[in-house]
Formats: sequence, structure tokens, C-alpha cells
Amino acid sequence: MQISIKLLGELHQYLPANGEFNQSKLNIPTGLTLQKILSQLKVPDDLDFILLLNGSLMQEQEYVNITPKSGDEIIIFPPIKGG
Amino acid sequence: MSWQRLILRVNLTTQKCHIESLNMDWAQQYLGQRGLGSKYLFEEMDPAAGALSAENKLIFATGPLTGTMASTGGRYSVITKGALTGAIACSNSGGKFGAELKLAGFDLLIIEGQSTRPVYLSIENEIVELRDASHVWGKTVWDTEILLSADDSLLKIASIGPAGENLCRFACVVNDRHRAAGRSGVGAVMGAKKLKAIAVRGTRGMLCDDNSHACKEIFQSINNRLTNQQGYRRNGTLAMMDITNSFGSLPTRNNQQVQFEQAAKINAEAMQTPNRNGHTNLVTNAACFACTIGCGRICKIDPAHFSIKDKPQYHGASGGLEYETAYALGAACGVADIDASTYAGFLCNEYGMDPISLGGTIAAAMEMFETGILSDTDTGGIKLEFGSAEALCEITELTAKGEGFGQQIAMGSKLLTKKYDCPELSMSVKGQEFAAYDGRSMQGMGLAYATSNRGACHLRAAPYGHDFKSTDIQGKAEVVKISQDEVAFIDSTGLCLFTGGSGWSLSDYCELINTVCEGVWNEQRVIETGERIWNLERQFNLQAGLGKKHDTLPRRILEEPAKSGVGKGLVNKLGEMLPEYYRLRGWEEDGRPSEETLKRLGLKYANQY
Repeated sequence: MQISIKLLGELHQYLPANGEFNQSKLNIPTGLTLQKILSQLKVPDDLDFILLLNGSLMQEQEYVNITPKSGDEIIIFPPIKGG
Repeated sequence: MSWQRLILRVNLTTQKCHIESLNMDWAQQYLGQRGLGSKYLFEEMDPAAGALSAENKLIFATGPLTGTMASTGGRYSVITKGALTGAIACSNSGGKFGAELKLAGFDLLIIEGQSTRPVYLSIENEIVELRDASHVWGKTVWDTEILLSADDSLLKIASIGPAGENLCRFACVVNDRHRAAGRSGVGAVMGAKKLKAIAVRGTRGMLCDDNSHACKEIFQSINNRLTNQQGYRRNGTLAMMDITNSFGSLPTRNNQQVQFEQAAKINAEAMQTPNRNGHTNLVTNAACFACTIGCGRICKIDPAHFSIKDKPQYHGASGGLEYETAYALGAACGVADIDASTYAGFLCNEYGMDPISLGGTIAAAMEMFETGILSDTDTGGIKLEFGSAEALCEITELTAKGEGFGQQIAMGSKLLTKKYDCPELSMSVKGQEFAAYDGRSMQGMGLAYATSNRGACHLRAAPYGHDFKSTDIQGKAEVVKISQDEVAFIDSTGLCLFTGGSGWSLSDYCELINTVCEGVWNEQRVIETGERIWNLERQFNLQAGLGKKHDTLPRRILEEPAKSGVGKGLVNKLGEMLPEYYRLRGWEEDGRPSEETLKRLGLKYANQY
């Protein structure tokens, strides 16, 4: 199945090779957890970031349980300060 | 050491200038820039005096690290009583002017009194002179820089444009063409004093330490700890737009919405993507003095764009959209035309206006127009509808020049909405318009706006990370209080706040200050310094008549739930956070610092006002 991902701010560096600017489509097996998706993107475990799934704020402890569905959108960004 | 230990004092009433010693006891307590400038302002003027009166003072302050090779060490601040707010104002700018002032030998420049004719201040090291400015009065910032530097291209100039001369309430001071001490109307104060510009050349240098070689190595080592600069460099501050729009904290159409459905047309990607004519808005990035980050945007407007097609003077590259500008001159007005917003931003730089307050006021006027409070007759025929790029450009031109309905926009949203009996439509605190974060999904930012000493501001606290991780108000008051103190300290060093987001921690700042300043500056001391500054600013505001009732938010943020995003259904819970904030500050329930708090910080107890 396919999901959309956006990696904002500094995190664009973890975009897959087919990514453009800060977003990409990702083909993943059904049932993959958020935690596994983050691993697949090679986002380091100790990195401080915020994750939205379809616009809803996810808490870190939920990453191991939640499995996105086809067409879902994941947005990940660092807690950057404003300007 | 990196205080020059000298103040340049200029009295515009008597037209006399003199150099005096810096009060080093105050430097040890308030460090420099924001802190030290605020201390001098508080000690030297009656906070109840009118912002545009001769009694107000205008202080240009550098920090101990201004002019050094510490990354971003080129900042200065303009401290005064704000024309927009009536509160203490402290507007911070980069570019090269601040470093030049410091290298001319001065920590502070204190302007007092009022001239009867336009003048500008010429500084070449210790040779200081007030000169006639009648030939540049009425000129834009850009023309003023060209004319005043005609004989010396190395001069660094800070000036006001026609907006400051016309006493536009949100006029700013612009230096180096497109860096600005932007907020709170410091340019109107300069205009009221009939001081057009300050032109400075500084070659005196400064001594950082007895061992300058060791000093250089320390700076290089600490600069190398800025390991997280790529994001700012690649996308500028505009990187934030995708984040706030995704989160639901991008104020849109005067905060009626919190997500802008056309944000993709004005974000960092749009700035870097060729349009249908093959034109790309972004030309390159830019850095201020000594900065290794380089977040600045240098942009070009498509020459075919309606705003400039008959105006070749705007076809060149100049300072482009930052996140705040793109919000205020974009999403806040519902405008999704990046070249129109860039043009309005150019005009802000050229005529000397704060784009945040300009955009916020236009957004309020657009809502007034759409709800029938303003008519075509009021606006001189301009259809001030949300989303109209043409209206945005036209009303910005009129405001810049002080013409037509632009004269009313120049009052700022608080006075404009008051005039038309709809004060609830002004998205402001203490008269200063919101920055680019909505206080419903970002509860801590709402508290930061409400309690900011200079009115609504995103740079007086740093609750970003905490807010993005939770909308629960638990812990927000503490995060806001602690970060307000930390920011007050960093604003007093001569460094840019973005170093904090690029890798420096409090210990890095301490190491830098210890390299250039006498005394021992540990983390406890610098935070206490920040807290002292915050409480001093509060004392100024209390004496100016601003207290607890001004620590509030517009009704929309307190009563109208956010319609979408992470904060959907939420209003800001200021009523629950404010008492805790006061308690953490050591303030009484009525918002006055307690006698114990003031004594602990070495401040005078005078709470009779």
C-alpha cells in the first residue's frame, strides 16, 4: 500500500531517493507500525521530532502500536524555533 | 574586553553630542544590548511620558559580543517607549550596522530631546556630528542610504523612511537596506525626533581578551558547535510555514482560520520553484555580520508580475520573504501570490514599516470590509477583500506614503478597530499585532503573547517544542517563564536567537560571555540576569500604566474555538495559566512583582504606581 510522507525542516535529509523537496510517496506492507516506518526512513531513534498522522498529533508511546492505512499522510518535523 | 566602556549621548534639542563612560556596575547586572539599554531607559526617562514626545529617549545598544567573530555577533537593539504600544520597546536587528557602531567605539548611543529640523548623525569613530538632513527628508530608506554613502561607500547606515517621518505607528528603523529593528514603532519615535539617519564608520576595533589568539580559537571552537544550520540556510525561516500549517497554528484571514489552504503557494518550496514564466523568486541566501547560518532571503519579483511591471526600480534582487512576512502579507490576508507579498515586503524595507503589524492591520481591515464595517467610500474605492493581491499591494503603497486610507492603516489595528467600534477584530496584545503562531493550538505561545513586555511577539519566549508536543497546558507557564528569561539574556549578548535553534546551549553562551567579559558568567547568573531584565521591563510598563489587565488576548483566541488542526475545538486557556505564571515569576496576584522578588534581583521596590 502507499502512504504520503512529509519530512519538514532539517528532516528532509531522511527523504527516500524519490522524494521531492520535503515529501514523498512510500510503498509499505500493510500492518507496518509508525515505529517501523521511521526505521525504514532511517530517522535516528534519539532524534527529537513531532509526528502528525492525518493531522493528528501522535505521542511517542503510540508509535509501536499504530499502523497507518493506505492513503494516510505522515508529517514529521523537528521542534524548531520560530523566526 | 568586549565592552567598549563608552556611551555616545546626543541631545537633539541642544544639538550637542558628547562621549561618556559606561556605567560598569550596570553592565555587570544587565550585560548589554536589550538589558543595558532598558536599564538606561528606565533610569533616565519617565515611563509615563508620551512615546512621540521629546521626553522619550531612543537608545541604540550593542552587546559585548557585537562586533566579535562569535557567529551572528553583529546584533544591536533599539530601545525606547514604543509608539505602537506605549510599552517598553526593544527591537533587534542584524546586518552590519551594529558591529560598525561597536567598532566605532560605543556600547550605547543615547538619543534624547527633539530636533526642530531634520538631521542625521554622522559618526566616524570619535568624530561625531549632527548634520542637516533636509536633502534626504522624504526619501526612502534605499535612497537615503545611496545619498548618504555617496562619498564613503563603507558607511553603515540605519535610517527611517517616509513611514517613520509620517509617524506611522509601526514604522521601523532599517539598516543595510533590508535588515530592520522592526517592531513596536521605534521608527516613529525616531521620526518624531526628526532624526533621519545614523551613518557610522568604525575602525577602532576592540580587544576581546589579553590573549587574542586564544580568544580566536575559542570563538572558532564554539562556532563549530553550530551543527544544525542547514535548515535555516536552505529554506530560511520560511521552513516554519509547512510546520504551522500542518499543525494548525498558521493564523489565516485575521485568525478566523488556523490553516491556509493555499500555503503551498507562499512557502519555502514555492519560493524555490520556477513559476509558469520560468521565474524563481529566491535568488540566494544572505548572512548578517559574522553569521555562519545565513537564513536571509534575497529574492526577485517576476518582472511580468502586475505589481512591478511598470516599475523597473523593483526588478532587482532585494530582501525577500521571511516566515513572519509571508504570514502577515500572505496567510493573514488570505493572499496566495508570493510575488505580491514580496513586493509588499520590499515596500516595508524601502519605506520603513514593520511587515507583521502592517499585515495584521490590513487583515483586520479586510475583515472589517467583508463584514460591512468599512465600505468602498472609507477605503477610497479599494476592495479590501481577503485574498486580493491587488488590494494588498495598493493599500501597502498608500500606507507607506501616508496617503488615502493608508493613513488609517498606519494607526495599527488597535486604534483602527477602536475608531470603528470593533476592537475585538484587532489581533494584538498591548497594541502590537500577533506574530505567525495561533495561541489556540499553541497554548504556551498564547501565554507568551499575553505576557510579553513589548506586546504580542514570538521572540520573547520559546515554547515552540513544548507546544508542538502537547496542547495540554500542564507545564506551559514554567516553559514560558524560563524561556523568557533565557531569551532576555541572549538578546543582551549581541548574538542572534537563531543560534539557539542551530546548536548552541546555555553553556555555549556562557563560555562566549566568559571569553569577553569580566566576571564569572555561569548558567545561574545569566538566567538571573535575564530575569532581572524581564522584571525591569515590567516595572517600566507598570509605571507607563500597563498591568494585569493588559496581559490578555483578543476575544477570538479566548472564546472562538479553532476550526481545524491539532487544536481543533480549543480556545486559549489563559485564565488558567496566568495565575501560575505570576506565581512562578514571584509576582502578586495583581501582576506586580513582589517586594521580595525585586529585592532578590537587586531592583528598586516602588510599587506605588
